[in-house]
Amino acid sequence: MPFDSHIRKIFDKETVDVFHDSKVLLVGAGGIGCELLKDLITMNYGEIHILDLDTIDLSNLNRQFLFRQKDIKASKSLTAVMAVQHFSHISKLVAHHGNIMDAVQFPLSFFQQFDMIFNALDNLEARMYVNKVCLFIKTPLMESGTTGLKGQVQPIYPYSTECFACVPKSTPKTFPLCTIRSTPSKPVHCVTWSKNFLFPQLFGPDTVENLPQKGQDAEQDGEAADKDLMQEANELFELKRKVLDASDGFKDASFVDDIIFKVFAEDISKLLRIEDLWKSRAKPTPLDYGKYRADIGKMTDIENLKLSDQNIWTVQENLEIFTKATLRLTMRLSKEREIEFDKDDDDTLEFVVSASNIRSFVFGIPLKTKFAVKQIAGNIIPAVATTNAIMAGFSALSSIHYFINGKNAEVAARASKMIFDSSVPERFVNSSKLVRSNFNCKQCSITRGIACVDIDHMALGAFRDALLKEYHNEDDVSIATSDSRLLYDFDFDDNLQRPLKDFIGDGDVLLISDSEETLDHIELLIKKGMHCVIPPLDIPPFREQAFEEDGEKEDAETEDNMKSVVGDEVVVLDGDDDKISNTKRSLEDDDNGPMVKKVRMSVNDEEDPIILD
Amino acid sequence: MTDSKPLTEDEIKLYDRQIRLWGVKAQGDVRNSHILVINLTSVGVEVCKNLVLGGIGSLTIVDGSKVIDQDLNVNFFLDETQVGQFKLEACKSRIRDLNPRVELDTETRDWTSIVNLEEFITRFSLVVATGVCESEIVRLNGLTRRLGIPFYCSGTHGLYGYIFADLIAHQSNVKYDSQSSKKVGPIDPVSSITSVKEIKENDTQTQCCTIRNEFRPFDQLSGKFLKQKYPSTKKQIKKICTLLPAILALLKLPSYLNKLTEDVDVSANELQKQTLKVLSQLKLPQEIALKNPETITNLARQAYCEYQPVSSILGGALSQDIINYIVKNELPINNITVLDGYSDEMPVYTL
Repeated sequence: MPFDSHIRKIFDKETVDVFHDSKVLLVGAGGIGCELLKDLITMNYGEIHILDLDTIDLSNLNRQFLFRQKDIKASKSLTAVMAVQHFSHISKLVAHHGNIMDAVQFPLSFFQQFDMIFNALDNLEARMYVNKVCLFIKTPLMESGTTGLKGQVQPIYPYSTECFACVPKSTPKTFPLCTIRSTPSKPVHCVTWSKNFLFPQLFGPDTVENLPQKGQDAEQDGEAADKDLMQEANELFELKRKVLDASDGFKDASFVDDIIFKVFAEDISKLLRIEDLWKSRAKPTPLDYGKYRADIGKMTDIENLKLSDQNIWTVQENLEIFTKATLRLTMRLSKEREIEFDKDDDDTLEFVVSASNIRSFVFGIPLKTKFAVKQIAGNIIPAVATTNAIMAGFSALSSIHYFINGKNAEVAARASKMIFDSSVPERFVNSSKLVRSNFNCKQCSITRGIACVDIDHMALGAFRDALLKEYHNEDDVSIATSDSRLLYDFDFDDNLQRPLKDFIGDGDVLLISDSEETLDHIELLIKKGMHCVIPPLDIPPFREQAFEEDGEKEDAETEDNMKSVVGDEVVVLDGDDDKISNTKRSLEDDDNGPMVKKVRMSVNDEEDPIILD
Repeated sequence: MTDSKPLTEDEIKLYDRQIRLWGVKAQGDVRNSHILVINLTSVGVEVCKNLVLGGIGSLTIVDGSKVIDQDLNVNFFLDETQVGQFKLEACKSRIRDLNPRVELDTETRDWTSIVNLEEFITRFSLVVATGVCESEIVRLNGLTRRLGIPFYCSGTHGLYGYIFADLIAHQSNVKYDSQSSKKVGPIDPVSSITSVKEIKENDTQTQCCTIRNEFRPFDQLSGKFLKQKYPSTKKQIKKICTLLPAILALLKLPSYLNKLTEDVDVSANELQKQTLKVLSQLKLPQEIALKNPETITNLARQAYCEYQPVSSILGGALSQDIINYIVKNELPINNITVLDGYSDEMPVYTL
């Protein structure tokens, strides 16, 4: 009896073979990745590549079921492939340890070998990158993400359906610098101050560039405040000197007293003198350090002091921990030169927890537990096995529409749904038909092609001529790199004689604009080749593009684009009598009009933007 | 049975990412739960995996079947050298490996051969049965009702599957945006809001509601709640999918659990007849069975087939509902959800 008789009964023989003959890429071996790998193997895809740059951590083990305690610190992708050997019967498995955005390790030709790509990523940057690659090579992409009990799956069929960039994503919240430095009112302000300001000042790279520049503040509370801040920063720089001196030849711990006195008393007194700041705010109280100083070190042996992560420490305890952490970090500084904040590095975490709590105390803000501060400072996103299993299951399930329909993207796009968690009792998940791409999308509204060019020898001028010949621009074009560096236009011809390799490498993207603004902009991905092959493209007429600045539309919910629905049918999740809760993630139900989608994608961003989870 | 030792530092670190969702105390409640899983089907495997990872106190699995070739593709705890062995014995060490903190007990025999089943079930805080047919569900659910233990059952058939829940009566906390202006009082005939608290969370005004849900045992399912919700026949036909009565009908037919897939023979005609019978028992319109006839033919063809993505979704949903029950958060499935893997839809119906 064959091991795959279940699948043979569900699908017809041809379809079973299509799965066997297909090659897929799974980007990410974390929470969703482990689950997806299991699902894809048991669906009998012929070849599965799995890629991740991360290593295994203890806090992964509650959901990343392919990893064990003994695997901590090992490569996720390599460990995952080892862990599934015993149940992989047909799939050839290939693990890659690396960053998906590394074009040297993973050039375009790497992506081109796959029939489909599955994203199981934890950060926006990598998601956008894979989305863009998929647009260039027109490969279907199953995008997925989870945050706690929330999650979504979005099948993307390039140019047939919305791409990942079509709906603006919410960006992380930012605070005005002045709030952080002078007028905090919430615990998060104090955590940000101690992690992003005090910590790097004392233990970060030893450069003057770290000093805040005049005029950086988004919100000015008067010139005086600004001037004072400059001075404050300069004085902190002096403290850094003391830390460095102390780390050099460790003698006494009095420099910690100086730091505490300076940042929690003296600086606060200075802030109090800027009366403008306190017209509509409660005044802070400088720390009366003398009250606590005598007892520091007396509580217990300072090295062994162990306080619970779950309880809020008293001011005395926070000062104790602050002293302890500062001394430890200072000693480490002699070997490590500079120390970066890492939520899993206990010295750095305890420093940030205690410093932010002492500052909170000074400003009359509630103190927080170490557990809570770790979440804020480390940008920790809750995660559970179940949501990952559900969303990975839907991602795997969505992929079948492409393979049971003869790999026809249009047909698959009509059959596929976008899935996201439901908050109403009538359904376990929300599913909605895929919609056409957003006309104003920065990513998929642009005409794209792949040019094979001998970049080592071909001069920019010859490349320009080849473009003009292929696209019949009336007059001239301008050429820029994807990071908006202008290489050529009609009054900037300095570079024409230089070879392309001086500006770009294999896999880079060039933006080509028509100087007469007759034809629309195009993007060409440059592949290193022997000759010069410019792809024939059907370029639409020029149109003004709303290139709004990033962050201008912070909230995806303000975007109410009416989109045409794939297929003839307009799908309305009519729930006129369903009790649709008015939460952020519910669908707007409307019996008469087309569906207006209001989805906030969870992006599951961890602190380090390139960690794959 | 209940040990109320606080979580250790190591446990807090291991379960960090989920403790951030439901708190240290609730994680302690998870650790105090003793769960019975009957039948190690593909969806049973997923449930075991999720519960063990989540850190329940103990898991007991009952299964008396032996590994056959077709299991290799739907049970990732197995390898091909284990064909012919008892399935549970073959899976045991890999399940234990997932999380050695969870106490794992195995009963390698058919659950129907347990002599004093009622006494056996008494020691569990929750019972999950997978791959069981109607008469078996009624028997188990009868016992759990009598003992006051929550009960779930689930099954998959190709791209289709279901979850049924009987939590008897359950109160849970659900958070809503303040704009939803929830008020104390009945939501529908099976649930009501018993208290509303306004809280401020991460700068947003939130309503924390305590919601009470009443459940029915499997032998008392009724169409009256759906008829109240959708008073017109037209609406009932539109809102209720063919899959709901069809999958209930399949449970009435003889079971092919652990049989060779090649030997499974469910006639589409017979299934349709049973589907119509289910609808008349529930006093729901017959047109529900007729609007999507291909669902019935597909379901008949795919009956008792297991497919990993479907098991992953149902196993995930079922385990999450169990954890929600333990930590008393979120709305429970009240009381049946069906998954259609062709349309990616998963409606929840109150029967």
